[in-house]
Amino acid sequence: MERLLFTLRVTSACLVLAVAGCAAVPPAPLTELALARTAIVQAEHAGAAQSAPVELSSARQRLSDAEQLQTRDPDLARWRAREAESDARLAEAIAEDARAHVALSLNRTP
Amino acid sequence: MNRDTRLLVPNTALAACILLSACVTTAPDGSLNNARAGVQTAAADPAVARYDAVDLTAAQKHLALAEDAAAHHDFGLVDHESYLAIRIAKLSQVRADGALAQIPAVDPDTGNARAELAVREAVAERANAAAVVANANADAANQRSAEAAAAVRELQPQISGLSVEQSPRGAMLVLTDDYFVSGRPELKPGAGRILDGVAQYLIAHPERRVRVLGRTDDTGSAAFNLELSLHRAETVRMALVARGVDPGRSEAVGYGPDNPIGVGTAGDNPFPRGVEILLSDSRGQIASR
Repeated sequence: MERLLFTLRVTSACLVLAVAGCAAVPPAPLTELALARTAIVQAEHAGAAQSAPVELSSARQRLSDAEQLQTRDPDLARWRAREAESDARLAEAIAEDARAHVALSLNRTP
Repeated sequence: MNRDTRLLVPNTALAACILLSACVTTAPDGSLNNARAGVQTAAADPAVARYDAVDLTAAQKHLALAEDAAAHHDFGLVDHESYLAIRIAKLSQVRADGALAQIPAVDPDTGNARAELAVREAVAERANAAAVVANANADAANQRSAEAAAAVRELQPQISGLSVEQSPRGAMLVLTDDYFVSGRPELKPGAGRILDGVAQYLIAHPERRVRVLGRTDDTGSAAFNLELSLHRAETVRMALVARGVDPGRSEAVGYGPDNPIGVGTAGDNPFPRGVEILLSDSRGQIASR
């Protein structure tokens, strides 16, 4: 009985390993993470902390999610990183738009 | 042998859990509808077409990927691509707005009148386009509500003992918890008459579709509730199919205790455990909010 159980255990362990071996583990999304980080830095430089705090903090949150997921679930990490980049680029654009409007009102003031 | 059986039971239960969790789907249409609306708004903005067509094209590409993922029931990907479509559509509008603001107020070559005129023209053109979109949306909402009212008028006489309601999303009726065996997906016999009426209506109106939404309250585990809501919705859908409704015109969705669409029936707060039967408009479209 004990022997049979042992054989069963070894067989199932082998099966698990075989299946895990089949599923190719995708590489960590380093490019996407780097792009997201760069976009966040650019947004910060553009003044997004004042003009677009919601978008900027969403970008930071998603980047941090992506960093934590990168080994456990690289595909999901890639999605979060891309989302973070899109948040950051939007935040940067909002900040630049705000600047353009300030410039416009200064120009028009006599 | 006894010992083997004891080992086997939890393992089978675990496997069943994993299989079931793979089948349970949550409603994906919220994010996709938002993405459609966001991209549509950006595409209707003439300033975007003029100053940031590149981002608009990118947003449209992500929307197409989201639609494609929805067709393949890959709801995680739907949410992801929808998110990108919404963000990039918004980005195109913000950039176009920034470009408008940067049109020089004083044109160094031809004098300032022309530059001012260009700004005013662009801004006016944009406001007109927004008004056209708003009008179209209002017309669509009126049309939807007229069609829902018509469906309520036609369906109500076929249903006794339950009122057909006109919600902002269309005509609907709610099978509350009382119509189901407690804590189980099975319908009680009393629901049969109501489903007869709904099925007759759908057979007589082949242009309409039906969405069955299951919801629960939040007592008990989230996984159990999600599963129960989906099974109940699917039970109701299969009961309609058994009564002759084309399976391709019906869908079942489980929300569990969540209420992502943010609406209950009038006065019902929170939404009770039960199943909502929602009819489409005459073109088969079902509004998600």
